[in-house]
Amino acid sequence: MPLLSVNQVSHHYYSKKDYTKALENISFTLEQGEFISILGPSGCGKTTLLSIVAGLINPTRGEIILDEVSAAEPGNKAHMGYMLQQDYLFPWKTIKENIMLGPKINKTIDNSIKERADQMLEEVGLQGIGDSYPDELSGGMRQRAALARTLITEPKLLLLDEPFSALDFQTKLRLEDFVSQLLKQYNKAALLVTHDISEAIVMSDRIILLKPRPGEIKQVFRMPPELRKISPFQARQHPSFQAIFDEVWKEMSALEKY
Amino acid sequence: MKNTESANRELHKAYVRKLKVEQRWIRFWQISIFMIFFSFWELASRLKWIDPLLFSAPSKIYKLFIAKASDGSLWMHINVTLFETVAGFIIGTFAGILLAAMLWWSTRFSKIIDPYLVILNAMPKVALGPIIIVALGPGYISIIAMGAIISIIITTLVVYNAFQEIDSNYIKVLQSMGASKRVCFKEAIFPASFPTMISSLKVNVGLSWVGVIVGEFLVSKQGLGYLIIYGFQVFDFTLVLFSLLVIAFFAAIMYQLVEKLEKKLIKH
Repeated sequence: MPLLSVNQVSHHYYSKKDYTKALENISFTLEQGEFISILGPSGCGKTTLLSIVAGLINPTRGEIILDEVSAAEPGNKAHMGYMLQQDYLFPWKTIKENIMLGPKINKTIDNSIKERADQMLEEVGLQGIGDSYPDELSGGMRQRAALARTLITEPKLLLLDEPFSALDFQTKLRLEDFVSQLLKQYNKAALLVTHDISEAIVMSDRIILLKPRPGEIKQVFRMPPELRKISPFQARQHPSFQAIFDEVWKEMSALEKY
Repeated sequence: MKNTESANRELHKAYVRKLKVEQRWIRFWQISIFMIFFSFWELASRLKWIDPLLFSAPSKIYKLFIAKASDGSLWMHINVTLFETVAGFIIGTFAGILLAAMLWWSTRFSKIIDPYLVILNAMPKVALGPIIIVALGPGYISIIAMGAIISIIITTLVVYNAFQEIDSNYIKVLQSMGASKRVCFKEAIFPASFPTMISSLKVNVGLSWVGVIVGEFLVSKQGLGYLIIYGFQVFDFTLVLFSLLVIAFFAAIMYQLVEKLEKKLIKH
């Protein structure tokens, strides 16, 4: 039984005049510890798909099963961690308060959680700044704090909505390595939405290429094991990287003409 | 090295000196305007350039102040008006925020109530004065109601607008953690709108004074608004101008207090 199955999901957006097909008949599965990237040009419904998996939007048709339970079940949201383009740390809360938000909402807050928050801070390399406010931190540090906030609830599945896109290039490379290593360490599964081909190649086990208007699966690429064994930074320099990049690039460019 | 270091220090000192000089000039002109205004007023009144019966004179107002302060009646009037204003201001602001929260809670309710809010907002609230007095009786309750009603609707509209303007991704973060609507309000919507609420407090300080003074014009037997209307009726314009200055003084103090509160509450 896979960790996540997306079964024939379609989604429509309605307006007074008409309806728009955002997603059409999307099906795939995700195994424990696997990393899948959803790649596609803008307007292909990537973020909609992620919101549906997170249970924030109900799909027009189809269903999402996480660990044999429907994602629409209210309790299931707690098993997923969602990270957005920006950190969206609450500016009036300290870093530690931000990180403990998940346990606070799920009413599982106690002394061990406070210790765990300190632990998480150390893990993401932010020890000793728990009492600072987000505006005192750099972009990379803030995104790492957001990661700690996502991980503290011990989600079974991480949903990443272009979490590196708002960062400068160096920070982005460092964070990719960091997240990838952390996910491997805990054997966590992740679903990344991106329009950055190289990022998708170096982070994922599989890449699902979506075609826009309506969002449909165009092609699935399986990344070679030699890229999977090394860090994203090293993968960018690996000899087989360029060939895969060219292949994905060709397919994705063909889509943009739509 | 040492030379440039000390030269840099000198440059910095010069900058600080320039700042101080600028500040002194501003203070100088502020005080000058004050002095010139009151001296000219006094002079104009004594030389009969203006009718002293209508425009009084600073010296007469000062004498009245001493008399009213020593017989204690001034404090009684100030007490009454301040109490009414603070009460009206607090009730108006909190009721406005509460109403805004209700509008946010139910989009349908907000859509239904929208045209009524527009009409109520456009209507000059002091025009409701006679009806409020008939309904609540000619006492301080009516006057507090006037002070409150004048700021409720505008607070509601401004705060509701702030509730809607929050970046929906903050809500997304909370919802992805399984937060209910109530939790979203408590953790994101309400604290994010804090600066707007404080700035509406500042506006409401001024509005409540308007409501209370008009209310006192209409019914009261005490208070600064009463002193103005009484002075007008007995043609004692020294009393009118005196009350006006007292009101200006206390309204400014209340405004300053709200600003202090703002600095204390909004750090991040």
